[in-house]
Amino acid sequence: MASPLCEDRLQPVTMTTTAAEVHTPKRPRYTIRCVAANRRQIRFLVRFALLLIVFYAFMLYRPFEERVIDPYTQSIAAVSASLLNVGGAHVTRSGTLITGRTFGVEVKNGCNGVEALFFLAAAMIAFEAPARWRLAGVVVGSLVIEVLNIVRVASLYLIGAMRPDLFETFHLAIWQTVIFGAAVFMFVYWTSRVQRLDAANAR
Amino acid sequence: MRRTLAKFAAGLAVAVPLWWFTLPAYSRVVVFLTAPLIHLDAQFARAIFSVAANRILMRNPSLDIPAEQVTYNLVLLVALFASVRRPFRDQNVIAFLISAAIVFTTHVAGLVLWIESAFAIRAGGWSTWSAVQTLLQIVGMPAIVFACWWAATQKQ
Repeated sequence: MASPLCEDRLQPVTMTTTAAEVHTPKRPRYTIRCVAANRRQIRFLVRFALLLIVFYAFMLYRPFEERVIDPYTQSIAAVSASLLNVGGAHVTRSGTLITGRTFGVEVKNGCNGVEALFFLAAAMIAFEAPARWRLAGVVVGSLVIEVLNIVRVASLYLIGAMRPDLFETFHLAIWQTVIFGAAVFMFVYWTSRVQRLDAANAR
Repeated sequence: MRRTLAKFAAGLAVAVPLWWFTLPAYSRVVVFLTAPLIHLDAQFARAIFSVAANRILMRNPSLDIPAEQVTYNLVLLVALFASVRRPFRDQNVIAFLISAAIVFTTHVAGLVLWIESAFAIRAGGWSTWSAVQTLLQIVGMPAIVFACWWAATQKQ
């Protein structure tokens, strides 16, 4: 697949160029800038993939899961339950389980927003940017993702209680797409700010 | 940015019903390519697959797999490519088709991992299969879609 960064460029006409070559100049498929851009993309994607694997290994590490992930997931469930109660849903929470009169949801890995946080953090850390910009991006992005995630958990409870036939569709296809779409667009917006800053500093 | 988000939302609105209604047919294609790979494992040499609604059913030995969990990232793929500038331009359509082919191969791999992981857990707890399958499902599926989309559209 040709990289969208590669643009055909005309070679300059030299003194030894024949008349035929003047009218049909050679057009190289790749330039040095194009090759450098491809290498940067590949380096970014490789770093991104490696960071995801490292972050996921942390998730699998039992002490980290017990001391960090589990309490974090419980706090997500607690805030979601509070939001539902404020809205009049009358639910109770036990650990990561939110139950009402007719339905219950359990917040597990994959629904606690941690995977989207790791995704966003891996992308921002893998991208070439000043460290403070990466830190700011990860912090702000994490907050946005977790707010969205709390809304996800609360809305999935309500959908499950009122329309259980739609629960899986919203659980997987819609909300997972929204959460990761939000992570992708926050990353894209952040990269545009970083590149603008780089351009301003270069002047 | 607002236009991009609106196009993403429109892509999502189109992709969800399309994915839901074509899921049985798509699952059959995934199963068609997965079966020969699974048969390489002696414990599944006589496995028979079928698709009923949105479930992938394996018999001999028995396993029931929700097809939506193996394929949900197709929705993200369509929504992301819908959000680009001029999504129906030839270059973007070709990039989408190549990305869809890559994602399809990960669905075949994902189904193999799901089956191996399920039986490894039945046999006695956590295993490498389970770790890889969970990595793919929770993090890998959206990450692969992002990587394909990023590689195709980074210039824009």
